[in-house]
Amino acid sequence: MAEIVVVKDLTKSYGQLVKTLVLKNITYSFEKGSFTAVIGPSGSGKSTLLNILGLLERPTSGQLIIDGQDFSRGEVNDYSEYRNRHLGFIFQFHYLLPEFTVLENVLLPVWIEAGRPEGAIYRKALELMSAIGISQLKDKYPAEISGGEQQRTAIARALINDPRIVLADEPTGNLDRETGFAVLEVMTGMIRELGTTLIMVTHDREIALRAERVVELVDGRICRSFVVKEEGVERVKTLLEDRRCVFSD
Amino acid sequence: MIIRPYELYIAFRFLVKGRFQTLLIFGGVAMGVAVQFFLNSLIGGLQVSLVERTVGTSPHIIMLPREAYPTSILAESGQILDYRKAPVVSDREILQWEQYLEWLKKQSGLKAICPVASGQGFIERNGISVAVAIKGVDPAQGAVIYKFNKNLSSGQALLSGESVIVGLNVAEKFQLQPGDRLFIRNDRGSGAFFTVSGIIDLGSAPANSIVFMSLERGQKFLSLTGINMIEVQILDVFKAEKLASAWRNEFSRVNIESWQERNRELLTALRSQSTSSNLIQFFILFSISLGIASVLGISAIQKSRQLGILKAIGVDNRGAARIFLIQGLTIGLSGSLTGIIVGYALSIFFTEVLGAATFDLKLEAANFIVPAILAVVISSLASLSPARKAARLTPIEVIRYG
Repeated sequence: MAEIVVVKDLTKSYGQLVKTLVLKNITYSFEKGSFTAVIGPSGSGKSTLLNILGLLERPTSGQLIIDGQDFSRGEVNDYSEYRNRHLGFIFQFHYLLPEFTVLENVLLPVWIEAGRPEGAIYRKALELMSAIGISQLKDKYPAEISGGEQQRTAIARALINDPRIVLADEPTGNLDRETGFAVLEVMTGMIRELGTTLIMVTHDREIALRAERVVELVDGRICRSFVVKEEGVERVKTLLEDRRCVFSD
Repeated sequence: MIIRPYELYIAFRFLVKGRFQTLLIFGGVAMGVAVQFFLNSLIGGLQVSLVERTVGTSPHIIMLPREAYPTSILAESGQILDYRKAPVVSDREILQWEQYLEWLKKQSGLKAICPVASGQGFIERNGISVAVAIKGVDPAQGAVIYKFNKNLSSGQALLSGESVIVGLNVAEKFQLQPGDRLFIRNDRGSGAFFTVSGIIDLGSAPANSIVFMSLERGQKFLSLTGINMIEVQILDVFKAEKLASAWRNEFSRVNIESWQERNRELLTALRSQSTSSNLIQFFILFSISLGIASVLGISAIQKSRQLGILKAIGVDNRGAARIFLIQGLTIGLSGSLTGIIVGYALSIFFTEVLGAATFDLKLEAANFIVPAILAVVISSLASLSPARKAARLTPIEVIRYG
């Protein structure tokens, strides 16, 4: 399978006087059309990595190539068009705009790209929403629907522009377990169907089991990475249980 | 600058959903424009009325014989000083007045040009003798300047032969009625009988002490061969001084005075009124702009979360900035429009319903166009800072810190 996102020696540090190194020389390739879970304890740098992959933050050094295009340098605000066309975001918090209805929120990326959507796009949005189970909420405002429904709306918004990559940061983190799994089910199902690449940050090892590939970050470095199918579910479980991480250096 | 539809859409939605704040700024702009419109109309109207009362029924520019100019005090026979000669003399008359009249007739912007024979007379009746001003005027032109027909309080405006129009004060003093005859003596001691054709009220005591007669009769009565004044009324009273100074360059043998020169106190008063009105308006504008800037600023902070999300899903810096500029512009435009309507209503209410003004308000386009344009410009300027903030915001600030 082809690679869609390639990072080489990627580092990220914060602060001017006292530098905090959050990501240290990350090198990894994400497969096109696959579901990769990025796991790790809090503070391990997994969200930072996801934000860099989503062109929401710049790497301090190293290389970032998405679909053959080099994004290692340049300002975050210059990549807004690329984000709009090719990337979909789902965050822990839904980040819907409270001023817009559910349907309008789903259609926002289309509006930004192409102006007022045509009938076909409306139908597409409604189909997407009914597949995710929120079509009956189309005229409601985000404040009027439940957390699970809000997150489903965010998923529909992330998928409306047929993105190449969907980046999800703890998308079920704010939901109770049952709702969380239901939302996850919908999300992974839809993404598989569309053949979109999914990169998801989670600290939940059970969720990580549903992924095709797992990358574990500890202290800003890749501790281990593996393909779930190749290892077998039982071995993966022990791998995920194993909290030790020995770096070679 | 091409505005993309989504920018308009999001800006309007922010305005509609932020009802309270929108109403606050909108109300501020509307009120500001309304008050300015009203104040401008009020003060403008007051000034027009004052000027009209001052110069409405009097000439705006007058041409007079040359004032004192030096002459030789040498005796004609040689280098001996002749102490009987005055060192300066002044012309009593404008002798070539017809030439001036011809020249003036070719000028544009003039309403009336009236040759005048002016001087003093004494009315004698019932043993009293009172000094009055005598004005021999061209009947048609004089009627325009002094608005004979409008200001006539009784009788008719007839100036021919021995018919005269007398000012109200004169008429009251001598209990004159139209048709009455009166004897007027000139400053040389001779006199004549005249018939009162009409009584006129020109609004001020000096003007109401004038006796008008025809130019020819006036010349004869005052023993003038020419005339001693040309009175001019112009269309735009405020151009009087400018015209007068242009004419001064043209003619050196006559003295030219504008009404502004003769009414310095009034002008100073009008000017200070305008200054204080401008000052008040400046502070109104200033406080409105502070209000708009602060409310839009707060709104920008409140909306920074939404902006962060919008930027994450594809709104670029320019788009983010424009969302705020559009909001400022929209509030400026709609507030101004409402302000004009409210200001107009306020003016009508003030004059028609309350009947509070003894003069007409000056309801002219400049009175609302200027504050409206200023309000739009200020609202747009006030939205610059939030727009700049919106452009600089990066989505991660919102996503990381919520």
